[in-house]
Amino acid sequence: MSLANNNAFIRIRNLRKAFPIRSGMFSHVELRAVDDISFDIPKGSTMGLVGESGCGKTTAGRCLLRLIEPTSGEVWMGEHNLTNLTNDQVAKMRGRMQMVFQDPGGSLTPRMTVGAILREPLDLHTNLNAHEKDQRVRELLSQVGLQPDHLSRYPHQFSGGQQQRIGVARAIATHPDFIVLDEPTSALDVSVRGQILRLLTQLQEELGLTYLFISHDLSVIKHTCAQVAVMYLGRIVETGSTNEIFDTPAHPYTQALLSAVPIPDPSQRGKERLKLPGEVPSPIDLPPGCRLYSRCPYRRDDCLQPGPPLFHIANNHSAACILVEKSDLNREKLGVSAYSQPA
Amino acid sequence: MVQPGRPDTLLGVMGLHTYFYTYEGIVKAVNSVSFGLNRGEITGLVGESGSGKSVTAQSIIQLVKAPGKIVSGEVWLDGEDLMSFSRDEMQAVRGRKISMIFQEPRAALNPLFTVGDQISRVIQLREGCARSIAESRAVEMMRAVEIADPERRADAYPHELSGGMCQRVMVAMALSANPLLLIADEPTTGLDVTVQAQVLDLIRSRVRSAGSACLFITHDLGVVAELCERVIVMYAGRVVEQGPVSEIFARPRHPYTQGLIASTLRVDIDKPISTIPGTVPDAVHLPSGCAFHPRCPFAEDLCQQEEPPMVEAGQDHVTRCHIVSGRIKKDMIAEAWELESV
Repeated sequence: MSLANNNAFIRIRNLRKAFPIRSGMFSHVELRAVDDISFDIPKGSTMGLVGESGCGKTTAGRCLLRLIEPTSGEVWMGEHNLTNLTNDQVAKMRGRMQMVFQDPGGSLTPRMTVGAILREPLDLHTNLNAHEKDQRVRELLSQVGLQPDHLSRYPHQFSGGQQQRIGVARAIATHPDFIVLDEPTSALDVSVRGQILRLLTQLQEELGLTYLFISHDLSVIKHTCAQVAVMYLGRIVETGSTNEIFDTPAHPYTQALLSAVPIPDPSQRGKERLKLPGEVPSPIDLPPGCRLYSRCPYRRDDCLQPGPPLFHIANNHSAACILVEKSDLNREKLGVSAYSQPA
Repeated sequence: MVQPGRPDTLLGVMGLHTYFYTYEGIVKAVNSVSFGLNRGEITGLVGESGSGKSVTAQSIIQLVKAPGKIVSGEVWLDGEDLMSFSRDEMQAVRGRKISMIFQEPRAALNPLFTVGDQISRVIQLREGCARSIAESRAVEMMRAVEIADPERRADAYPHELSGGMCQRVMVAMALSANPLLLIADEPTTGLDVTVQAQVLDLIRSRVRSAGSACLFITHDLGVVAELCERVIVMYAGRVVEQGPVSEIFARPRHPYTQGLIASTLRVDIDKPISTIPGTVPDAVHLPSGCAFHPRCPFAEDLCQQEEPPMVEAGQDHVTRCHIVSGRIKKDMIAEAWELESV
């Protein structure tokens, strides 16, 4: 990944977030939820952050918006270093950076009408007069495909898909530049999910939005993102363009993740998979080496050395695996042997 | 379609109706549902939220909560008519002959007992063995569902475990009874894909080796394609299509099934995002005729007026659609879903 990316709008540098955990009366250990991640998102583009539960993707997304304070590292949005701003300054910036949450029902106040929900960000972040606010609210509704008579209704009167449309309308109310989408379609039915994904893509084109799309669902990431970063236990293990990640995954974890996704085609049943034994270890007190060591079928002693950093593969594709660096397993070979590896 | 007389049919469900009597009106959550489950086979029950999948499962084990009520229908398990069973007899069926894995593992586990305790009670109940033996078997089961460090985890309470871990405990508990029929209600929803793959492997191998049957409720067509032999598609309380998985995925005949397959995103191929227009209908005020007609790109007047009956659509494959039955002469073109998406 080139760090000298000049057209990058969002730049994340060495972002860390550690939560202290009490392990005894006087001793503390650290849970490193986000451990030294860096990436760029070009203006108007979508970056996918994918990983399994507990990998730190949601924590990373919240640190980006300073909804929680990062332990160290820098987050740049355009010319602003968000990590240096005071809380008041961040509050002023909130209108420019928004979030869409996973649980569409839970993220809308049940006692406020849709009109009131959409007016709130305008009250906080704009100087519009009452009439202009009304107009803006109506405009927002039509932008997300809802009707003007929905304004006086309450969130529970809507289906999940419509609730998420309200969540999206609220996020774009203040003309933000950057939106963190935290699993925006995970709670939705298959037939409705596509509608929301299309709405998000359409709004991005119309409004020039930059997205960080957080999801555990690789198929959604594949269809919405230009770039992908794969996280495992707080670290980015592989990053690159979506095509490269999905066509030639280099890191054993990415390969396992991809091969575990069920394919809705019975004729492909029984394809050989790279299976990872066990499960994600506790993120507390991790050893210094590769985080996948305990589950990796290719592990060797070198993997216990501190690191590994992201090794460049091609274009902006890189992976944090020493086998990639040494290329004693080139990608084709890694792919072939991967699928003959017994579980 | 349903052949309770077939020797390998373990469970036969015929004409099942389960209604919910609410203030707003009657919700026909399960409406004239019939299917059979074969031994050693996994049958997928697919549909979106509110389609009646879970209520179908609850009806089979007669655990429908008020204001729901089984109105009519027959459920045969291994030659026995479950509808004629008393409450006590049914209680003996549940957990021994039929095990269930629920959608919300944490709600299904007792928060006051350790998970090891809860699994060993199931084993004790079924085997009548000594507590110490049941406890060690419980640890074995926990190891079988790949819970790391099972000896220590057996002493954990449900709130101390992650959601995924609780679901493994549920799977361990359900499988420990070696049931004739395993009903799994979205057991891997909320689990990570790498863990989901392990749990699916586990369910597959157990069902095959024990010769039991499995009703696997899911909204994920990928899971159905990988795991199941047969699939039942439900929409608004009705079975709209059922048949062998290979047949349904290759030649889906009902427009809803077609739309569902078209709107499923895949990691292995690039295709435009298709969706089914509109939303799942309000359960109290279902559309007239075919409940899918407001969202169907092929609908005609007849679909609005008359509910389509179940008709043969191929080998061991049935569906409810006026176009398939020939009442409406029309071609269903796959492109309709792509056009819909533009």
